[in-house]
Amino acid sequence: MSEAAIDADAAHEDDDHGHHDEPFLGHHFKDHDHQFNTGKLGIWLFLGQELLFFGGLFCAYAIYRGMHPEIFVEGHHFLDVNLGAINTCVLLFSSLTAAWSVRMAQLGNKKGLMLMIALTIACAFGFLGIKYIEYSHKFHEGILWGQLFAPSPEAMEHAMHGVEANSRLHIFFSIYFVMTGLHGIHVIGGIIAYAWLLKRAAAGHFGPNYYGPVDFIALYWHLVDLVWIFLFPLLYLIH
Amino acid sequence: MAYRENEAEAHDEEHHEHHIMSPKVLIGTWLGLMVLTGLTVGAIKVDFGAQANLIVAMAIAGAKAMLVCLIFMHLWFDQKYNVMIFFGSVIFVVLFISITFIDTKRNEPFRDAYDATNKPTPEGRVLVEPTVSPISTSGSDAAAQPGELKVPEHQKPKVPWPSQLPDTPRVAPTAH
Repeated sequence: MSEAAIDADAAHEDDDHGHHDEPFLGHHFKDHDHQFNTGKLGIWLFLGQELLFFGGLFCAYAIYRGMHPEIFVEGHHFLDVNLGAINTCVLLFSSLTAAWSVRMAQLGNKKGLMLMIALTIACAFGFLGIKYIEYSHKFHEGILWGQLFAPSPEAMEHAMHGVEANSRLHIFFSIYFVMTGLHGIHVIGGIIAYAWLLKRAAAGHFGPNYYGPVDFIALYWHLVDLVWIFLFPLLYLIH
Repeated sequence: MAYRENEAEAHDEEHHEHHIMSPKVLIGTWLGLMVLTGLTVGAIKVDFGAQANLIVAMAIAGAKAMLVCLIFMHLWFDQKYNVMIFFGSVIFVVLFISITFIDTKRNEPFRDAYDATNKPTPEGRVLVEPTVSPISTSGSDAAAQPGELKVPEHQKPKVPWPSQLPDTPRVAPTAH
């Protein structure tokens, strides 16, 4: 494009496409609905990709559980169901606050929006804190993944009650650490995204016309919740 | 504004652009999710049999997932193409897992033959060629032993079993 053409474009933009009174409406969008729906399509494509991404791990889980169901029964005795259930509740509550943050943004309630975002971040930290307790306990007892799996005799006795563990038990913990670890990384990603959102909400960027980012990050957060909804029964609740 | 008109056609009953969830719906959904969580923790204590317990747990997780998708992620009120993208992904995940399962089932005789020969030792597993072959080639050496694994005709491999290949001793890395 020649310089003259760019100038002409800029001049044209001044006429009617600049949205000068709308600082957060991209000039290439017709209106806020257009921008919102475009962003929404983008985030759904990303979430579809996330699902396929986690799908690979769920596939590994399904195959190994199909081949060696006994190691999953043995492995889940090493996990604390109560901590897993508390974490499920924490995450479900954060999903409620995330959904509520969208409502607050739609209503233009800045204080409510900031409160809901802050609550969501607090829940995310709570989730990671509980996960940290679980992980550090396991690291301490030598319950690690793959070839590093060398549980202390006490941990073995506590979970197995004297029964000899399957020689493939380490596979369960490889799957456990990769799946919960990757999920934990997504929680950290959510905290970063929500921190950014909190900053913008405090600056008063969001309102009934422009609340796309609040909605999109909430959708991502719900997906993180969704993954945990399946991870919890698959890892902690085995009969 | 053809764009707006199309949208209105797709959602004639709904002003979806600014669909605001009521507190009642949000809290109701959350309570439903909490009840289902309690239910799934309780259900695992009841013995339905290993398979049935898994199915019950997955059914409850599926119900929770639907609540989150349809209401929290407001897919119920959303444009149809967003629903298509998401459930399209779900379909591909299911396909991925089922096709891999078919392959795994097909390989099961090999795994069992391997396990029957390679008992784990404290030093790890020493890999040797299975003395039990899943291929019951009647009249040949190893496979003719009594108490063999029975492989259905359609599951018999078309490729030679490793014992029919040139002998290469292998030692497994120490397990654990």
